[in-house]
Amino acid sequence: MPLNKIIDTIARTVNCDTHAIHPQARLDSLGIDSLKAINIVYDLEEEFGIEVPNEAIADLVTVNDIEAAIARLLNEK
Amino acid sequence: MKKRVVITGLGAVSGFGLTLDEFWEGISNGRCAIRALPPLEGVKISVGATVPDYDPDNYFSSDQLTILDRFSQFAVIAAKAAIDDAGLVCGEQIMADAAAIIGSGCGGKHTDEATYDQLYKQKRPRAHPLTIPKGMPSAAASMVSMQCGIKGPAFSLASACASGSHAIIQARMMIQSGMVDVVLAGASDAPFTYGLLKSWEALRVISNDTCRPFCGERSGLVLGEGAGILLLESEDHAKNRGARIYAEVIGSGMTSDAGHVTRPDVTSITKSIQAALQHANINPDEVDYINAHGTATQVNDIVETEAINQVFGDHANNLAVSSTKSMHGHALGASSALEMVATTLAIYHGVIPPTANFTTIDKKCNLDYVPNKSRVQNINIAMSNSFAFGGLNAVLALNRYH
Repeated sequence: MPLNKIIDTIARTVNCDTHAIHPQARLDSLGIDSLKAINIVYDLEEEFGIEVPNEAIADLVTVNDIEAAIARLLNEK
Repeated sequence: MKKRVVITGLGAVSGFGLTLDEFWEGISNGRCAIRALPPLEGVKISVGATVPDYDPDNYFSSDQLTILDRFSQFAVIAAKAAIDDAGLVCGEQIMADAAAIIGSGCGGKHTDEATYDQLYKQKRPRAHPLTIPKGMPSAAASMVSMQCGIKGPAFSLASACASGSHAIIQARMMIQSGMVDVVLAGASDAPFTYGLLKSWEALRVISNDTCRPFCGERSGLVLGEGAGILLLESEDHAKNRGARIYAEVIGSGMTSDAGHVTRPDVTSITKSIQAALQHANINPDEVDYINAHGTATQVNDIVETEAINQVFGDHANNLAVSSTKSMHGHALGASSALEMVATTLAIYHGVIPPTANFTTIDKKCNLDYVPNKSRVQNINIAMSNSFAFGGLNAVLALNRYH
């Protein structure tokens, strides 16, 4: 399940419990700045074997956005 | 009149451990921190002065560690220790106004090599996003600034094995100019990586025995790792806050060989020592102790001995000259800083750390190298020599504070 893996990755990066992360949560409300965001994207690229284009990163505002982007990239594979 | 510059805080991470006390206890007792390295496939180098029993999790959060290369970790630990030792506090105004000059011989090689392994060897498609800020040569200076709340000038400085000495000289000039009152200066290195070990191996200067500077049985240098950080302060500033003063930095000499890349040049080295004496306004016969560059390579130890004989003449016979690299290894840039810590403590405690592992005499090395056992002796003036690959020489002169 991509969503679970995304939440695990975020929890690991910001050092919080997975239960504290809701799919609707904004990334900035979780303490994720642009540097942390590219770390999370890096981990997910490695996990799913995908390549997130630079221009897609700015559109990742919520956890759901990450899930949608990954689902789209997995579909395109 | 120029401001006097004193040393009021010290931090040392070395093969003896993570504290200044372990460092001084080790070198003042002539103990050797060189140990067998865990075997690494394809690597011939078998000994080194690695930092023992070090668990980064005891010093940093997992979040902090994502951005801290091993050389930055050592720099931060030693910097915080020096601040504490000086009776100052991270984040307070004195530190916010301070400067940090953190030298390094090799920078964040653990980070760079992990990424290169990932890309070149594992053929993975991407590098870790923090490779650049974690591995850059100035990373340690940035991390010291961030973790100690230093908001004045902060930068890195590289002159291979003399990086720490050049950093301290630069720091003193900044204090004398009135730019700042407090500077954290020194160097940090963590060279035990596969790529660096293979590269040092290729230079054919590494001993697989141990480090025996100036000794007839010397067989080359032994790598070490760690950080030496000194807190330098204008005398007025130190006195106004009632700080303990270890010693005064009274002069420095810097020259460059402009010659061979690895073979030291006796004329240039001689000039650097003479320049330090002249700069400090002292006569050669006032010097009691020299902490030598003393790498234990065949050439360095002969050339350094020759230079000391040329500068000091008959007084060379009265000088104590020791190489503490015999104990903490050659930690590249960090070595020069650790040697300044050693020289400072030698003056402060009146104890000369020895040249360890000394067995037989080399007739070309004819000075008093304080073999194997430390010596209790009042030291008024001491010097610390650093002669780096690439021909970059830096010599510092220190005075017992009075």
